[in-house]
Amino acid sequence: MSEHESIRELLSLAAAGVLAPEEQRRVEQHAGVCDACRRQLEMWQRYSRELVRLPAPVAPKHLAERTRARILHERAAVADRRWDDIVLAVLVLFGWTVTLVTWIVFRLFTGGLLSVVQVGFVRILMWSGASTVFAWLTAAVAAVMLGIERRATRRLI
Amino acid sequence: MILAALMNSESALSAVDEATKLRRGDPDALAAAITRYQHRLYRYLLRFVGDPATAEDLFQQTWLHVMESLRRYDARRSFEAWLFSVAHNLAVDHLRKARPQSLEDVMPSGRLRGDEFAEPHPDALEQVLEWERAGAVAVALLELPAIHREVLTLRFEEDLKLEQMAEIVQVPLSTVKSRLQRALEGLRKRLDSRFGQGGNQ
Repeated sequence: MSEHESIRELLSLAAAGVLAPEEQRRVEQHAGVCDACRRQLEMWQRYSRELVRLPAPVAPKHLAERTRARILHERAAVADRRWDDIVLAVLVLFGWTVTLVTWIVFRLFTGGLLSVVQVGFVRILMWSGASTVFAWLTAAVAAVMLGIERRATRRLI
Repeated sequence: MILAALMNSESALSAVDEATKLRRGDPDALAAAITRYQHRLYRYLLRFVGDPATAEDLFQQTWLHVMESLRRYDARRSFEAWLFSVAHNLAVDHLRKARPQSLEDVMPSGRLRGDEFAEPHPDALEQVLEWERAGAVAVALLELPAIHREVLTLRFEEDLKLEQMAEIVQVPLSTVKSRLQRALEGLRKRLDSRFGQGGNQ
């Protein structure tokens, strides 16, 4: 490829101002002695100027405020979800605690201190089943109540 | 030289500072950052996707994504380049879903949103001529493939260097260079076919 041809390929980029200083100098030197390339370079420079001067569209009014509001809303939703997770974990813990405590208290009242440590496989199974159902029912009721309250709060917002 | 180095380190510091405040969830920092970049980011997205409603939605998604992934932001990178690269990825995803064929497809010639582009000008005749010419360039720009519109707006409207453009578009420097060259060539062809050789009226 001749110098003229290789320079011709660089003209648009030279006008766009993205060539390395050395390449830019080469282009300008060649354009100084080659009429065809000078005209082409001037044409590309005109296009570049027009692109720079292109009327700039501006962001619609309130876009920034709307975006900020959406982010804050999303953040609140994430915080809500996190809070729900914590509540659920506490409820599960509460459920298991209630299960255990009910069992121990009931045994204390019905059979005295020693019956708490007495091992009876069938009775243990029965009691743990009953306590688990009780605990999970408590947790489910609490979760439903929490959900109803959350929906009511959202309606107000 | 020293002044430039000082300015660079200052801007790097402010980017880190900005990211730290955002990460902390400072609402004022969030409002300030959105306001600072709103016109540039919106313009970039509008040029890229060619539709104001989509550009608005992508603008909001960009900020949501930025806030979600701030923890992964590398403070050594320019915040601006990171912000625009997030916008780039979302716009590319959107265009792929909207027109799965190719991002290099020519966009159907869109309407000229004159009222959005309008800016006050003192001389009425000059204003009309300028609008006509700018309108032709804007229309020609709209007819280009999305990835060509993107590099043109990054170079000429955002005044970014090739390295910064490559970081945003996430392609090698040589690809950005050739893409810019093809975009300019495409623009010239369209203006030539409208106004004749050299794009003169």
